[in-house]
Amino acid sequence: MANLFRSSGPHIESPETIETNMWSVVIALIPALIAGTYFFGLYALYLVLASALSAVLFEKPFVKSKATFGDGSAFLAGILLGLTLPPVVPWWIPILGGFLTVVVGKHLFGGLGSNIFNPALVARAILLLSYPALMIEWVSPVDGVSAATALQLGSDSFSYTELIIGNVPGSIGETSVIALLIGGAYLYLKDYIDLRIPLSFVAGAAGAAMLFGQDPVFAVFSGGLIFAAIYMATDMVTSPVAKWAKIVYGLAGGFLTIFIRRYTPYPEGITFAILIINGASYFLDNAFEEPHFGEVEYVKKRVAHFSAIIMAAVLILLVGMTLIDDDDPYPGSLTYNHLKEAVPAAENFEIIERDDNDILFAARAEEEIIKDLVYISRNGFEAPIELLLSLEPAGSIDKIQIINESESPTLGARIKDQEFLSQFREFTTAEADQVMAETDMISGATYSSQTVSRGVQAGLRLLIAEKEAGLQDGVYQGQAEGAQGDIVLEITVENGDIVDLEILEEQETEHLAEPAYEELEAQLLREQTADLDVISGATYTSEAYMEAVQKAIDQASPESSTDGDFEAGTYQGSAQGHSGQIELEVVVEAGEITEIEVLTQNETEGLGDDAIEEIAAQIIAEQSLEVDLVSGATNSSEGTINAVRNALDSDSESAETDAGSEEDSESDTDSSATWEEEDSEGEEETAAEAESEGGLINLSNLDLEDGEYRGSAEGHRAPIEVSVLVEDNEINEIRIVSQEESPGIGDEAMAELSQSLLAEQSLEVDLVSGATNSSEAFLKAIDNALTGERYGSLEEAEDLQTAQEILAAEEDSESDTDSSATWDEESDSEENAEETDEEAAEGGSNG
Amino acid sequence: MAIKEVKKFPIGGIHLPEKKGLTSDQPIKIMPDPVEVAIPLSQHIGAPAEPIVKAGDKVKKGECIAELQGKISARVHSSINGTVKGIVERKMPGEGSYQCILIEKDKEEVELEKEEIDRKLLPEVETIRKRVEAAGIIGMGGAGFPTHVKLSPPPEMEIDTVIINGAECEPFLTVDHRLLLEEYEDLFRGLELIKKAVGAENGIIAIELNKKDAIEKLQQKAADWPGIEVQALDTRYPHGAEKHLIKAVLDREVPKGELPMAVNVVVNNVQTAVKIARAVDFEEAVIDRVLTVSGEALKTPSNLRVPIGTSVQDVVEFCGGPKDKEDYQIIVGGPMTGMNIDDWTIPVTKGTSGVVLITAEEYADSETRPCIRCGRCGEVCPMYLAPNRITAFINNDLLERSLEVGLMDCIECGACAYICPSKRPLVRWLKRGKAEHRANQK
Repeated sequence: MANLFRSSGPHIESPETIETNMWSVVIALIPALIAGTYFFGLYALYLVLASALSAVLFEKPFVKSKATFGDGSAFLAGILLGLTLPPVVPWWIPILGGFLTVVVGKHLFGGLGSNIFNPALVARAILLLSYPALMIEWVSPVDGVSAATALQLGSDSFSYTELIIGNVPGSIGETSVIALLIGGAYLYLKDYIDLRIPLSFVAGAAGAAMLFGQDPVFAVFSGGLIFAAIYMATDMVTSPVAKWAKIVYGLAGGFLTIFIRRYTPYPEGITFAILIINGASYFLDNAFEEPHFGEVEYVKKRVAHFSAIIMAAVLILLVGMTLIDDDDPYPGSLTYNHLKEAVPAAENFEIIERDDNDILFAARAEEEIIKDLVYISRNGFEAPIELLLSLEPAGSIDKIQIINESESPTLGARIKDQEFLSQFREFTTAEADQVMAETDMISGATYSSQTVSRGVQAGLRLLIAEKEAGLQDGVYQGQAEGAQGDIVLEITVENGDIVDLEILEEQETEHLAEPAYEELEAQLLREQTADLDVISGATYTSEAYMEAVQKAIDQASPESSTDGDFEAGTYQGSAQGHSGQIELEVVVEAGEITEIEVLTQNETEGLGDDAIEEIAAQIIAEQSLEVDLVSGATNSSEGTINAVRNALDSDSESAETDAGSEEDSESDTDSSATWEEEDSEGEEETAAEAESEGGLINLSNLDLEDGEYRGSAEGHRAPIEVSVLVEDNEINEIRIVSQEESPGIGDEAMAELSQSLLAEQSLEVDLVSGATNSSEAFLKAIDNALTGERYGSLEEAEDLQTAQEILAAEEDSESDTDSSATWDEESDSEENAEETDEEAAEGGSNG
Repeated sequence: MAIKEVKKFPIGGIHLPEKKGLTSDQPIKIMPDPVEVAIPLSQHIGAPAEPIVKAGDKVKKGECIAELQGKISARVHSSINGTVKGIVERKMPGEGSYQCILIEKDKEEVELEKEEIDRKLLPEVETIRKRVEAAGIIGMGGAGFPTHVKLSPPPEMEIDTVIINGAECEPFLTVDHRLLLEEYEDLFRGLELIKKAVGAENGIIAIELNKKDAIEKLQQKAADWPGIEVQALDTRYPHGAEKHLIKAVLDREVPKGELPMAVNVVVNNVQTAVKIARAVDFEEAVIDRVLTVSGEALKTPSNLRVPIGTSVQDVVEFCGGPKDKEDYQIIVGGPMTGMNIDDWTIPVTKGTSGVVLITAEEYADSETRPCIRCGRCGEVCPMYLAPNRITAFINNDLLERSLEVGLMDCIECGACAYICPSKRPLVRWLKRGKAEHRANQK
């Protein structure tokens, strides 16, 4: 009995079956499995096999197939799930995973071919949400100890080579890009995969990474993205069939992966991105129905249709991104309440600096900055760890708070213990580079503790960067030609902000200029820039005003702090590199860095160590720390620079106080020192208390060897350092080595005091009214000098004076290369100076 | 002569196991007239022919026994000398049956008289059409469209190219291959006549690369025939599908629902062209055809010239019958688009290109399994359809949706069902969907 539908062709069939499909993918996964076993040990292999066998077993009740492994689809899903597990999960996780894959992910939806979502990823998502602590327990393939993945550490954590080979922490089968590509090539050659999905997935991810300002190569090679692109997104049952649908599907998947990594607490992103696009498969197949053969007109309509869809999508995306940026002044879990809680006295919090998610706030009360707040967010195991540091204006950490974390409740959460957190309060901005090395980590929660420590370090650095970029405190004058003559004005900078402006000299038309001045001053104080709006009716005046302000601001702008001359000597310094401390020795000869020798380092061979060499060579060549980082070894590069800085700083700390005189008040000193000495409140106290205690040396019975004596004391903004020449137990001459007192007030006061002091040979002189602080500090400096040890002979002092004068003259002529002072040539002076410095500090605290 | 340029259609298609080696080297044998023939009245598309003989009439080989009825129809001629026994019913491959004129063979052989024609001359267009009509020629590749209609395009249609379809992309079949090698003179002449009839300038003979000897031979011979070229095609199924042949050779896409005329092309099968030459020059009617009898279950695979109306049983028995009495399946036509039959009496018609016996093991009757959405059916579909989606709609009674996604565009080539790893009978479902749609329209 012939029947049309039984008897029509085709009467031959291809040898392709479901089994050949499934087992080919299993074969393609063997390289990844071998790589996983090699890097993470046999236990990892057992986990994958347990997952696969569990999946096969749990499928038995649902299928009638007699074959031991069924049609291979359960085995494959089990293998896929197993390869996405961390290599140290307990043995029952893959067993449970196999059950979830086959029963929940597949047969509850109706079995093979009927499931909407990738079964392995359904299982992985359930496991991830149910056992977050277990599912993010990564280990290093090198030593098997707990470690963070490349995604958690960021783009400079591992080199591309490491990522391609796969000897990095991560899921069992996801780390080795090369093994995955070998499997992918096998599938492609056997024609089991269509390249549209993998390629567009990778392209989508790379594009998104570029859009978010990340390294696209890193984004693609890390976090199992290649694994997902080749094996997960291409799952036949859950991916679309139409050609363009595949491309859109892949692009969307790649984009979502990076988006989820960037904007949600789940650093890997793959699982949820693919589950989302799985849900869109049916829609995509419908939306991207191919024009059929012969539909010539239809093709044109399609093109218009496609373009409209794509343009709409791009528009939505752009609008969305704008909204994200605008609507969210505080990232993550941070709220205004957190800030208010940290500094209850503050009236407002201004965002001073924003670096990605890290934010520096200035907490103000009555226009004064009372605290700096730094918000830092770093990826933890599951959700970001969000820190809020409260810093004293001087740069010391006052309070540290963890405002959000989702670390494992038993171990990781101990980062919230005061015992752990309080240790950070010992750090100041000056010690930013040592934070990592000096933190006591919580055993068993090394990664979580490291993350906090890294966060604190980043916070301190953010503050340093901001302070360095800001204006130097002081009073600066600017001058420009106005409509009727020169306008001379003076700005006052405090805490990096312009707080006051005074017009010293002008001949402008009064009734026009006066309102303009008021308006411009208000603008200036508000906007902190010389680029102001011209006041109509007073254009020339406004422009001259702005020019003058700009000149004043130019003077207040700092120069690079590490350039320039260095004092001869050999210095050692260290800083945190990519893995461990980089210690090195810097040799300075004739004001130039001549040699940088690495003492110890533990950087990645062939990458980190080369970077150190290269950075060192650059520093020597350019005589500056502002060198280009070696790409791919950013941590090592920065570590090297920090270590050199550390070495030179260790020198400058001691050398600073005996630095040659810089007449210019805006002379640049080490930034850390600046803040310490900035606190005007503290300074007033010091002076007041010092006076109440008296204790100045009596000059009438001075019993000192002839020679030069040096001393310093806290001045108005910086230490005042003096050189006192003593001859025949009498003060012969007082030289001011360095000072930053208000020009025209402080320096004149000191000159006046010197006069009367020399005349009366007593420290009991009248203070100069209007400059009490400077006067007191000056006297204290002289006192310190005379109570200290002899600095040198009179002859040496004379020579030095001459040398310094020549040097100062040279530097003046060389415009403003002031920089960190002229180092004293006398090497043995260091010790002496250190003591002096200590005494000065003691004077500050005791006195 | 080296083959210069090889063309192919751009998207879809598959590479099939060819199995043509069984018969490709065997010259065409002439099968003796069987004792009786059952000549179907409707071997073509259009109205069935009207019988003009009655039981007891003596008929000669080549004598017209049924006249055409209406515009689209074709004459039927007696393929043997014999006596009309009456009208009988014979099963069709697939579903339905033929009305056939049954003729019993007489003892004596009588030659039909022929009028000689100078082959160098080109007859008038009207003469060509008339003689083609008189000879009862239809498309002999299987579709069966009356050729005289094809040779009379509406005057507003300008035809510039005639393509001879020598792709023969079905496995096992070697009919066209043998005709190309053995009857190329008639083929070139036929093509020349078709060009004249439709007013085309170019004639192209398109041949798949698996017939390299034929390509080389015809390229050589084509030198004598101005305005005729030989084009090599890549070996890919279904190059023989008319629209894909045009796409491959001329890169012209026949719009949906239109005929090749819409892109100024006429396509004819190799055997049709040969028959046209014979009909125009010698006034020979279509009383026989060459077909391939092949398959691994058959004792002596051959290329045979068989009188129309001969039963499949006679053909298979002439070729030695099946190797194993039990283990075979008979397919009329090629294994991709042909029909599996279980009735030996089915007659050979003008459109029967082959009879293939394949072993039960080879025969595709695996269990139908769930679709795993691998998408291979869509990848191989030469019409750019997604057969898995269309059939899902058909099987879930969503005929409207299946029409939206191109059900009626399907050419039933079978590439999707062949490649399907889940062994789903996609073409059968598609045919059922089409049949349902046609029934709904009535």
